[in-house]
Amino acid sequence: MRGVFHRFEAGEEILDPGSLRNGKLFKYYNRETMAAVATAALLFSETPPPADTPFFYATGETESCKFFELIRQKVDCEHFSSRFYVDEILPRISPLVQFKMMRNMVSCMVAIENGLKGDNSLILDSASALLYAALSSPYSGEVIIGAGKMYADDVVECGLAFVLPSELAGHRMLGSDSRAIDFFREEVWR
Amino acid sequence: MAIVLTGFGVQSPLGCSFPESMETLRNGRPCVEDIQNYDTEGYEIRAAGEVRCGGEVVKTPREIDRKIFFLDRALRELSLNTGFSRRYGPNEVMLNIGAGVDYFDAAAFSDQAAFHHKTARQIREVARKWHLEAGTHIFASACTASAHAIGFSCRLLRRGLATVVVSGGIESMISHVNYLGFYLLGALSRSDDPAPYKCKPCDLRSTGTILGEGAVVMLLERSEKVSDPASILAEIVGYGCTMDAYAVTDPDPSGVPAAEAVRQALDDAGIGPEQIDCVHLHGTGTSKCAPAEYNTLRLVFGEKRASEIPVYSMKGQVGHLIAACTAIEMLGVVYSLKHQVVLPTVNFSEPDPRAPLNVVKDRPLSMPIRHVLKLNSAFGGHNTALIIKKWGK
Repeated sequence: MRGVFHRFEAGEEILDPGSLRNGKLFKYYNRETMAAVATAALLFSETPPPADTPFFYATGETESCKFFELIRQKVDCEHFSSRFYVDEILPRISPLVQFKMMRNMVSCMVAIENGLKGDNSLILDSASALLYAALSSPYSGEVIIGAGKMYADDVVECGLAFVLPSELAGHRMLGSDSRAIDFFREEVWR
Repeated sequence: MAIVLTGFGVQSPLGCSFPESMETLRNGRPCVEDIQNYDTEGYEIRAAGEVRCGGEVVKTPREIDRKIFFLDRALRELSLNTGFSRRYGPNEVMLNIGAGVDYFDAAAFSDQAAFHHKTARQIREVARKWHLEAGTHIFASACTASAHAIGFSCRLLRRGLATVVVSGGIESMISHVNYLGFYLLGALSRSDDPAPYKCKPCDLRSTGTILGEGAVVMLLERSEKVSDPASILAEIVGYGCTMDAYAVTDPDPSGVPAAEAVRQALDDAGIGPEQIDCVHLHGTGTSKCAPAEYNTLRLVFGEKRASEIPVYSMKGQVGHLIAACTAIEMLGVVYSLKHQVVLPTVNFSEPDPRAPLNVVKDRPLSMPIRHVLKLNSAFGGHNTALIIKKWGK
């Protein structure tokens, strides 16, 4: 297994939009997407993967929605009604927020940026699902696995690795409730 | 060894049981109306396919995450109908499920805990309640989430990495935050078009999709473990998936990556494209979906057969269940295999010249059906193909 694990502190600049092949898509990036694209750039810098390389990615459970925190501070939500939501809150929401909330955007942006078109899945939270996805892929050769986690305080962690599925057989996280990001913290960040 | 589907648990716009849902498919009753579960004053668009029992919308208090509520009820039906918890030990039953976005209770804006209902934590709680203890694996690739869950399940069963799997999908975006968020994406069918509030797959007049909700779970087993062969509804023989790596909102119009997913599924099934009898499309009713799906079929079947093979989309009848769409659409696949018909696509009337597909309309098309190709795709570029076969000779 060859991997990269990174922890980005709150407020830390993660990615220079100018370094992207598809810079105009940067507006859709949340901090986890930035972390995943930056980590992928490091991992792929020496060996760009063939386009048909499988890519399995696990995103963490959403810890906070900062955007809604901001709305909450600005509006009086004591007397909620549908009309209130439509008139007072909806106009403050950009469609870009929706894209940033869609879980699969992280892996899609990594795929777009690196031309990955192979077998794939986007998993919520689970190390077990991520490892099983790699183990059961029909692809012969190394696959890419990854995980990211955006914490409530804006810290982001991300790990990505090339791995041979056979290396994962019998791993203790298979069938467990462990988080995918913990796999990278334990296996890569040593 | 075959991977077979032996039962469903259903909470959907079609109904709140497998038999009721099959009957609603048969009678073709449209299941999309104005939202009834909560007040939508001020909404510009308010149509949705809400979960119904006996034709009545199932109402829940706003504090409840509906997709989790429906998952619990669907698992109850699946357990009763298949007896999986009697036939297998808790450590043998795995839950692999597609799930939608978190639920946000807009009326609880001032209370973070009450506002944000986290999906994975809630699903794990329900899994524990129903003794699904061989692992809980959640897929979150939007409109292909349940296809990924089902395909993943088949791979694990085939490789002996799982004994028995409950798979499927759950979704409800029919709430202020999620429904209006989706509205902002501009993907919903407009209310000022000639056929208000309708999702019109493959139709010239299509202006967008309509959101649906529900939970559909199914039991997937290895055929030699099935005690009653009469319970087998279908066999899943092929699965493939690819990424477009093309755009955020639009499918790759060439259809090349989606056609590659179909080729993988055909290889997996060990059959050729000529053995596919009909295609159950993703068919969202958005303007770019039908041409991309037509190009996919053209690459797989050739130009002539792409325009001849009967195709169907369920979304005209129930709306788009996003993370649960493949799961509910598997009911249509089973219906086709059981009754040897391709159902008419509800709300389809005028063909889109950019997608000259043979969309069945008005009445069911009777024909011999042995293999159904099920296509789905998602925002961001995921493509999936499943091939489902009639069980037995």
